[in-house]
Amino acid sequence: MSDDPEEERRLMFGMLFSLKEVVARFSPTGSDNLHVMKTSNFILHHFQSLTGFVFVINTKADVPDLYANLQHIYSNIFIEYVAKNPLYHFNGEDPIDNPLFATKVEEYLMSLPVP
Amino acid sequence: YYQLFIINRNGGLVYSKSLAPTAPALSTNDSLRLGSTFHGLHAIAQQIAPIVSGGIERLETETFILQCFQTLTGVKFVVTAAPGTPDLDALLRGIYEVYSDYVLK
Repeated sequence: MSDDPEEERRLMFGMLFSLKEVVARFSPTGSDNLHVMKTSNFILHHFQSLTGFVFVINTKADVPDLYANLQHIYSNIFIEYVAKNPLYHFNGEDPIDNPLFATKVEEYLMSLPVP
Repeated sequence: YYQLFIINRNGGLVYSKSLAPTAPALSTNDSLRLGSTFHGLHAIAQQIAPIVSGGIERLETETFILQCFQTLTGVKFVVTAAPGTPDLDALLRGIYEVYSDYVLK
């Protein structure tokens, strides 16, 4: 369903929010670290940093757990190119408008042995 | 295994059972709310999918796995278990069989 991308983004955000609450309730320890959500046709990989940033990738159903890869994107790419960049002001609210960051993420994703 | 839930086609919880002493203790209210929330999320997942897809089948987190089996009539069988527990799908299909034998007939 590719209607309004803005609508899709809002649905995704709402779903993730409720999903994390559900996960926290079901968990025997109360933690809400969601790794993967699978449906019959696609997989949603999820990672949340300690500072609250959420990284999500949607893939085809035959891809294994990308949790470690999301972690890598966070600590090696996001931190390096966005957070540590003295020339780029990231206030956590606006979309990330850093072309170098976008290129690096794409490079990394292309280099993974994933269909 | 931690818990079993059965949710009807309207999202209402019809059965819930704790399968282990380590499972989180849920009040009746909590279980009912969880049942309908999950029903809603299952549907949303189907909608935001980048390609045509069914609803949520499986959730994997650091501390547990949740497997969902939806029948053709819209009833959902949901089980939570420790990470690495195998054959959850087969388990749910078996429970569905027992359900149709004893509950529906």
